[in-house]
Amino acid sequence: MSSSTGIVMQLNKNHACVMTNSGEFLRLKISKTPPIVGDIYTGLVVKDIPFYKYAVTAATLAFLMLFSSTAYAYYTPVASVVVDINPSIKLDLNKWNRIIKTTPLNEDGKKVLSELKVQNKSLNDGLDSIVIQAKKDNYINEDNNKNGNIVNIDIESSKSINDFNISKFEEKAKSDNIKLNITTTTNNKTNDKFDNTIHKETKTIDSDKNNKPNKNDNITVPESNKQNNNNNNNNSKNNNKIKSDDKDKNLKESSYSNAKNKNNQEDNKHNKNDTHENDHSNKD
Amino acid sequence: MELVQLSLDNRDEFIAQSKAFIYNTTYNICKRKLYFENDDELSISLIAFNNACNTYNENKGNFYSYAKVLIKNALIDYFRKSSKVPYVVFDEDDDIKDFIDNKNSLTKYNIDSENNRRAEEIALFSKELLEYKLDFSTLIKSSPSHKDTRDSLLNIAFKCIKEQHILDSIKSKKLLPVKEIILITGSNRKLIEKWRRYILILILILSSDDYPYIKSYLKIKVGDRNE
Repeated sequence: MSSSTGIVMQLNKNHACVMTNSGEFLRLKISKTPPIVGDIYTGLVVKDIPFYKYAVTAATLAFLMLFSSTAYAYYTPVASVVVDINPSIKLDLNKWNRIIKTTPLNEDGKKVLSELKVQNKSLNDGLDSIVIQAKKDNYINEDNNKNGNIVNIDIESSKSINDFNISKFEEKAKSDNIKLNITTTTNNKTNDKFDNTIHKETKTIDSDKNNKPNKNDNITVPESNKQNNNNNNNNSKNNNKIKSDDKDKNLKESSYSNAKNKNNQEDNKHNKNDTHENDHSNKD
Repeated sequence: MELVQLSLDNRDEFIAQSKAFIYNTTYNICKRKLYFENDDELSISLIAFNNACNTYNENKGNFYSYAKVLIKNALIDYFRKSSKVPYVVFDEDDDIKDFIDNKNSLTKYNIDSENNRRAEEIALFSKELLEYKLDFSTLIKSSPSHKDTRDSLLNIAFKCIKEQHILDSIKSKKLLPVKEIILITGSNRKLIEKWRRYILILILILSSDDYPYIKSYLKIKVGDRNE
């Protein structure tokens, strides 16, 4: 900002139009004492902001908004997957099935996670590397394998399982002789009313652990028969797989009471959380 | 300034006393060494000074500032009319000496009355601008900030003022006859079209006799083409 002197030709609200003695027409800022037309006036030159500066600011703002909204979308978890071998790990997924957060649920899980990095990997790759790491650390080994290693995968999201596209991992697991046990829990977090139903669902999973029910949008508290029907009717593809898994599991149930116990513990945790949620909803 | 001093009886003596003032005023515009024996510019200034003595009255403010205005305008008119137009430029260096002179000789009353007359001129001028659908706000957007551009536009305007038919066509059509200006000045069409408003303003100010104060406020001097 430079100051200039000239004859005041026209007065506007905040500035004076001025002609300098070097033939320039300028706009000067009016200070405390306003001039009158015809005065020789000295003041700071007001320059119009050129168009490209507006364009640059607009572009920067648009870019920032785009960047922040994608970043926000990227780091918003929409699904969580609990992998339970013996080390159990919780993976948070964003809507592009990328792992954005990992939480160990027990000491073994902590150990496995400390040795590998699955953040920002796709779910397929992440599960793969977890299984490989578990093998390295001897959680999955040949001795167990004879009896069948079981990997429990518990997917909790509002999307259907087909969206997760973990077939690659499934194939690989098959070739490695690992039994997969995939459970999906669907929750609609759209309404506060549904909190109760979600809670019920998880509960039923606890009680009917032997069957490992596969659940969809049904909100009512299902009886065991009904569940079986559901299993048969809905998501046929996955159900078949799970059913076969279930059979296996039933056979080996007695020898794998350890795994069961763990599940129990976890479920208890779930229950605690759920009761908390209930309290909140009551308060509301 | 006493009116008595300006009476015809004392005129010779008074002009002889004021020769230094006349020389300085002329020198400020011409920026070269001048001789009373040789240079037309000084004769023009003397005539203008004498004219100022004739027309001066007390409500025209300070006599010397009035005389300065008249001398400047007379010289600008002379450049306009003379066959070989010198290269004219806007003067940008602040004349400190001139500034001190003004401070000493001008009282607040004088400054005020000068401002008043300038305000009248500006009111008249903006009325004329309205006929051309111009106002000062739009002028600010279409006035060049680069000194070289302003100087070349000033010279284009000077050349146009000499041609009566261009002035006539501006007055009647209220538009700048771009084609004819290109023919006369041999300059770039783009330049003239871009700065047409500014050229129009310069022509209006410099060609008219209605705006002596605005005209004399513009510091126009004779410069070198290579400056």
